[in-house]
Amino acid sequence: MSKSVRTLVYALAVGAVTLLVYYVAAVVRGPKVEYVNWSPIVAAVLTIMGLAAGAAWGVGGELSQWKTRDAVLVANLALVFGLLFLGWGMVWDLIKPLNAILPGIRDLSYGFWFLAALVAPYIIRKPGAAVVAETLAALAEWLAGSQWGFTLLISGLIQGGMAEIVFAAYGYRRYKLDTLMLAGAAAGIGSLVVDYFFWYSNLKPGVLAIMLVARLISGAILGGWLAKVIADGLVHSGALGSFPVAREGREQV
Amino acid sequence: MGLFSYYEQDSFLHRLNPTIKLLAIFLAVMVLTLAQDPYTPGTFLALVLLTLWLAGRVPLKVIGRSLWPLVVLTLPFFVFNTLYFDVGRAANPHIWLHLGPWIVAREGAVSGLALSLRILAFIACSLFFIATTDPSDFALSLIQQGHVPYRFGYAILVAYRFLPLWTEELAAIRAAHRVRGVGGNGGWRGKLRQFQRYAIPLLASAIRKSERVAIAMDSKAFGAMPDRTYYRELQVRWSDWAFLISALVLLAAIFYLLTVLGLTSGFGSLPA
Repeated sequence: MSKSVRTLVYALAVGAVTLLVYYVAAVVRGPKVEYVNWSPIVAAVLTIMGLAAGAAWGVGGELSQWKTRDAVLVANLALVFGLLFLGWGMVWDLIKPLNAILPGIRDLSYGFWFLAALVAPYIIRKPGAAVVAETLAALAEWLAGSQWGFTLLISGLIQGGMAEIVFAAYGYRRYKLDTLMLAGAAAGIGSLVVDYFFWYSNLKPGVLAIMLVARLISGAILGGWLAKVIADGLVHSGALGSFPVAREGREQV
Repeated sequence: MGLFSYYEQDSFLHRLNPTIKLLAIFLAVMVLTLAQDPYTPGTFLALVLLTLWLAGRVPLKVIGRSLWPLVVLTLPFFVFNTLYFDVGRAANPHIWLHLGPWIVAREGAVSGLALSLRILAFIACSLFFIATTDPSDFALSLIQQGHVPYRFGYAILVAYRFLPLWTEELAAIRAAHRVRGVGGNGGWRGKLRQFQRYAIPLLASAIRKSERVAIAMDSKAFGAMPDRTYYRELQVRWSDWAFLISALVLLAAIFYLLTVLGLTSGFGSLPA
């Protein structure tokens, strides 16, 4: 089984099992089960979390194939991004008043938090880079004392897993702007799903819809496009000379 | 740097296995998410801080200093969740007032309070872990008990070790820019450009350092074998399991007590 197929199969399998378990718990056992009610939003949320977690599980085996160089690079990048993410949390709090104009519009700034899941795979081009980088960045942000606490680790894993699905769908071969933007948008879906699970389950559906659109846009632009700008800037600086991303540039020339 | 840091001390909590501690927090966070009333997270928050103080021997002053900025940050979250509460989901909403497009209802305020206390309970869990866990023990335990591939475990340790270097590096980049007369203009556009000017050299230097360290590691045959031995081996002792089980029993007891008192509203449903 090729690596990309393996990631996708794991994602679909875990997503389907999650949906099935929720369906059985909420519908088949009947309305007498007091605490579990069927809701399409919850079904979608759980399925997407399953998809992303499955993708993360699927690439887990790949990690032993990595070179030391890749592991150290991703860990260092993730740490730097984790600290930038912590700083972005302050921006996020400062622009809170934007939500008075249109609730959820602040989420247009959310894409910045997906950068680790996009820059790392773009540079090293290995299965698992998105999941590992985003999870480690979340770990760094958590340990540095973020306001969102432990939930960050789950956010990181799900956002990275969603981005990973996109990179896998492109066969881990194509790393262009469209791949990065799609991966950013996918991470945006993943982020909202986790936030719904932990924080937003009592909000109006309209507000959630605005948030979803804002995060898709932000994931594509502030995530995908900015990731390419940053990574290309790094290639230009010459620091990435021995990594796949720079080799590609040389072949084109 | 961040608001939380390791508090060096010798205590029951400090001696616990980091992976078991992480597992306990994960389970607590997942269970707390199911509670929709403010009493469950509130009680849990108090108990976590009490445990950190008594069993972790972290002074109340340190706990308070770490937590108060985050308490302030929770306030806008409370307001947002109250104003945009889905009033249609409550059976008989007790509406307090109409504020333009917003309906302020008692149910919304209760839900906002519950979510804010949930944030604070999660933050308390983080402080609980971070204040009582030596970062290098954590990385070692992730490898030995968490089955993280050791190459990654050591990569995390390297990154952690490099952390203080980034502050120096940033200062050097800033000085290099100033010497050339770049930057200094204000406004958010200037800030954005400044961010770009700092981010790329900082990341480039992170990449160069990583590569150099990786070469040094490779040349000492790091990662040549599938397994390795350790100078320090962390163990999972009976006290770790006792901690995990008692944490879960405590959580169940909180749920049970509050339900008997009629203060919870069931998992996943709205507070009455």
